[in-house]
Amino acid sequence: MLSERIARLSEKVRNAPPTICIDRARLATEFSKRPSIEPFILNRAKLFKYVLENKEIFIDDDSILAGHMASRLHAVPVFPEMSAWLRDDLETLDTRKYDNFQFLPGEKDELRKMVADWNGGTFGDLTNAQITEEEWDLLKIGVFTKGISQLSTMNLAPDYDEMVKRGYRYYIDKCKARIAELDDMDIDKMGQKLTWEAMIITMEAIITFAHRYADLAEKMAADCSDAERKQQLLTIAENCRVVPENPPQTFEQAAQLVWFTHLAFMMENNGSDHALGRFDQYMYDFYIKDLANGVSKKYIADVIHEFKIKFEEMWYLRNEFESEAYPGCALYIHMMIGGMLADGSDGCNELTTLILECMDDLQTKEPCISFRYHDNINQETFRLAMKVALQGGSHPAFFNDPTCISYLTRLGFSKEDAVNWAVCGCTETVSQGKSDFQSQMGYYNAIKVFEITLYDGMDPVSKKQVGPHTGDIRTFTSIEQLKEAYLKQQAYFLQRFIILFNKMVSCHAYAVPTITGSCFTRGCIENGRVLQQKGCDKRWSAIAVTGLANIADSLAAIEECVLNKKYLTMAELLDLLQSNFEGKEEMRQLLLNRAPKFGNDIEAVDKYAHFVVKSLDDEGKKYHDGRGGELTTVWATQSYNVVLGRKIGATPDGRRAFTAMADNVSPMIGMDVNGPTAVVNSVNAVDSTIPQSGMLLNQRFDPAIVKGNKGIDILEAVLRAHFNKQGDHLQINVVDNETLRAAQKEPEKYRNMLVRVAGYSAFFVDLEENIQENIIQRTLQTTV
Amino acid sequence: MIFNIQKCSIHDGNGLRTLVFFKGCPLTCKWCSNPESQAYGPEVMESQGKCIGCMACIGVCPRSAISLGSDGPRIDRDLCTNCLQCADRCYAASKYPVGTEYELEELYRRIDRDRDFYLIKGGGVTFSGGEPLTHAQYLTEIARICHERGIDVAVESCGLGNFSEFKHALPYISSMFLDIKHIDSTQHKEITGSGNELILHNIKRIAQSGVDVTIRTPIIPGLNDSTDNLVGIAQFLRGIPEIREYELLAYHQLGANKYHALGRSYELEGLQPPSDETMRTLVKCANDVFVGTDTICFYTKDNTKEIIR
Repeated sequence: MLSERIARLSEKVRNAPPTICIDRARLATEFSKRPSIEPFILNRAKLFKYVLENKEIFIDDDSILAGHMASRLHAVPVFPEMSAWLRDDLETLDTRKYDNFQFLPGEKDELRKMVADWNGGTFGDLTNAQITEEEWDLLKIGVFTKGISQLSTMNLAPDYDEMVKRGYRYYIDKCKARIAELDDMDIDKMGQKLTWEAMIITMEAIITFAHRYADLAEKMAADCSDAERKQQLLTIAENCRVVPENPPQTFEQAAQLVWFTHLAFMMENNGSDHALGRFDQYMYDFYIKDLANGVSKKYIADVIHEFKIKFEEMWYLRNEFESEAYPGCALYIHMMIGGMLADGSDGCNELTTLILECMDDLQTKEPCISFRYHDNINQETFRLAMKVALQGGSHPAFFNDPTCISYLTRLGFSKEDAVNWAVCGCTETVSQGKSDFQSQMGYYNAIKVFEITLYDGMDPVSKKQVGPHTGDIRTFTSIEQLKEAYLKQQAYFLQRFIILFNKMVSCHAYAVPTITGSCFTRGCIENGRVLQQKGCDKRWSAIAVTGLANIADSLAAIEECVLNKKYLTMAELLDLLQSNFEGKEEMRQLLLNRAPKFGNDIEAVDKYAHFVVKSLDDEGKKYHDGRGGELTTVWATQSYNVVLGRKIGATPDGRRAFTAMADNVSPMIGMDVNGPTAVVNSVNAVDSTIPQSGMLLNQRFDPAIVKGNKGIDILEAVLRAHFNKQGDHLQINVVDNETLRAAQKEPEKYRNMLVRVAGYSAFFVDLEENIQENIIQRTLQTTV
Repeated sequence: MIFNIQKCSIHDGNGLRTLVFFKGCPLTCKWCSNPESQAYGPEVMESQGKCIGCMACIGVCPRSAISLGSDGPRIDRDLCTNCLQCADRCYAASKYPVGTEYELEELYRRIDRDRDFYLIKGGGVTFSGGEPLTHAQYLTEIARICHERGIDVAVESCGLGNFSEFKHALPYISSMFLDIKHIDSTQHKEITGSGNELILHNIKRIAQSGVDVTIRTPIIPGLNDSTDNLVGIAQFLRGIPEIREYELLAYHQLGANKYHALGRSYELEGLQPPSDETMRTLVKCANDVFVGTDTICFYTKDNTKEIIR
């Protein structure tokens, strides 16, 4: 049962219309007018300090945790120094179809002026200047997208295990000690010294920021006539004096510390995907201690609820293109629960259960909560996690410990560090506090590369010869020839993709440090370098890929319909694709119905999925990212399957030109007709241990079939079989078509219905119609 | 001959099951929700919604049995010989064949695909139909192969088969779901096309052979939903102590479209499923008969057994 306070708070956040808060933009612009020749790291630290000292703060009447990203509920700050896109998209921020935000009166004009001030001097301008004509062409054609060109490197995964025992003062002292140890000076040491100083400025600024809340709470308490609220305000004040500076003493203080830290990440720089890590582990001691001190479980549950609502409230501004690709304002802030400990025993505890029970009472869009499964999992907790997921609130997602741990050990982590894994992004595993991982390299659109292969290196949409000549497929007589041509095109385009990303990520080393995150990632203080300058020793980036099922289905269709059964020739196939099957619907039907499709447990097509995944990963492994890190792959699409699908002509799997592709590693929409076990078998025909940043599998179940204990049994069988086969991830939606249609018709009645989009959840009614349709079309798993 | 393999079923046996539907049945129940299961040979089904209007089927039919109807090309079943040429030519799969012969090993391979799932919360294969007992030799072989290789075997049946033939399959079958559609043989013949004497006799023999038997009655409003019928069936079951479970299944209309797909009319058009209240009343009246025995009657709602006493 929810307390009245939490129910009110939740409603308030959900009902506050999202607005743009220009407070931060104003302060950042103001600060940057101050003459200075400071090195950029110091400058960024001071800018952040200036923002924290001067931004408007408030404490909501129902809150017991302090701190908001903006100056009012449910508002997004603006980073005018980062976003060159603001020049183009500013005007439509309040009118666009996806994730639109309203301005307060007069503020749009003010922001427009600020954007004009930054014109030519933003980070986006710096990165854009690195892009060649050819790269712009490839971006326009849709061979790939560019990742962190106007965002920070984000993806912060702080060492909360240590931080909750220490408080910031410990890290400040560490930096001070390093500075004190300097007995000589040279160019490198000056770099270190400036970095430590920037870290100290940043951490002190966050402490001062917390003290501002303490002052405000005390002032409000003095004016408060309600005894209960007065006490709450005094507790807020006390908490904000203790943390983040000092080690927290209570569960509530520890939650406040974590919240301040994550909040700082989101305010210092733009971007998201910051990992909360294993909340049920590092918070457990506080939970036990609180209970011993007479704090009620109910009170702790309320803290958990409020902590989650804090993330729910946090929204994030994307440009128009990306707001459609990541609809519903995804933040990808993941909390992990369950999972094994370093000695192989199970980590499920009472707090794990309490978090799940809280989810049963109230689901939030963020943080994304994921349950880690392994063979020795506490069966009762696992069943509870499945029961909660089957309620339809779209959390938790399920991850497989052995596979995820193996991803990290193969990247060089010790077993002990690998066990402490968390998620940055959708499914990408990192070792909490010890990783510098990049989830936003951009999207490598493999299906586009496949399409270009069919046209001997030419993009059929723009008619530009963008790739090498790899042969006229009309002369091909075997699937091997086609695969070989595809591999050559892949080698060509993947290299270009990586070079483009490396330019982007290298710009960060000279312009946009994430200083708060650097303070709490192992290696940065020790090395005296921020993350962007290789402060952390373990660095890697993931190539995100789209179009798996479509390529596999296309190869199988060519093999079966052209080469085996000879229903048509390669030349005829190419004509069909070029004409988008115009007047030849029956041939499109042939390609759809006479060739095997991925997702039905048919080896003849599933083998091509494996080929696509393995060959891309192998190719990526030939390179390093711009920070000397390894490259991994991740098969998760967000809604790029819809957005990038618009750039792809007709494909041999029978997909019409410019329509949506398959999402994530799911089968193509409507093509899997043999139930969830067949999907699981097809997906696991791909060796899931290859893409070390994961393969995201969505399954949508009919609520009617997953009722009761038998429903949990079905899910358990599907999950455990998937994980026994080394699958890494599975997430579920439990909602039928009627309900989704009803929500489209009467959105106001379904405002709190969450659906899983990719590695995150969104409120269905907040999604644009296109994306809603795509979710409705995803196969609904029913049984007889 | 098999007309469908359905994976991931939860209602027909323990755990997660693969259903294998035999084609061909000695009964012709008016409510049959799988009318394509009744004939023993291959047939063509028509899904007009998938038709793209290419008319190729009309051109290939050697009997000129296909002509353009109000909802697209339709087969005149009086002329059709089930040669399947139209289905072969229909790329849109609007006309499609039902009925496939599987080599035993090929069928086993398909069942075995989901072995990893059966191992977790139980499960296995359920042979259904059609009437599996009328495919006695094939059933015996495939049941034996599955059983010997560690896959649990269940059978759904109407009970009408030659015991001396199908008894060879029984050692490999762990559980059976056998229907009694009406206790009165005349009425039984009226609604299914055959009397029930042999069925009732077979049920006794199967139950006594050691197979775990669940009896089922589909409740068809107006045809067999009288309390007299239920009491009669329950009294019959009282005499077979080996049988512990009696399940009532509510009629549903999900099969109606398939009649149209086979060019047949559906006699029960518009018939509404029994209410929850009716199901509860009937379950209770069977359980009244079972007082003092170990047998229970139930129906399933939201995946849960509802036992009303």
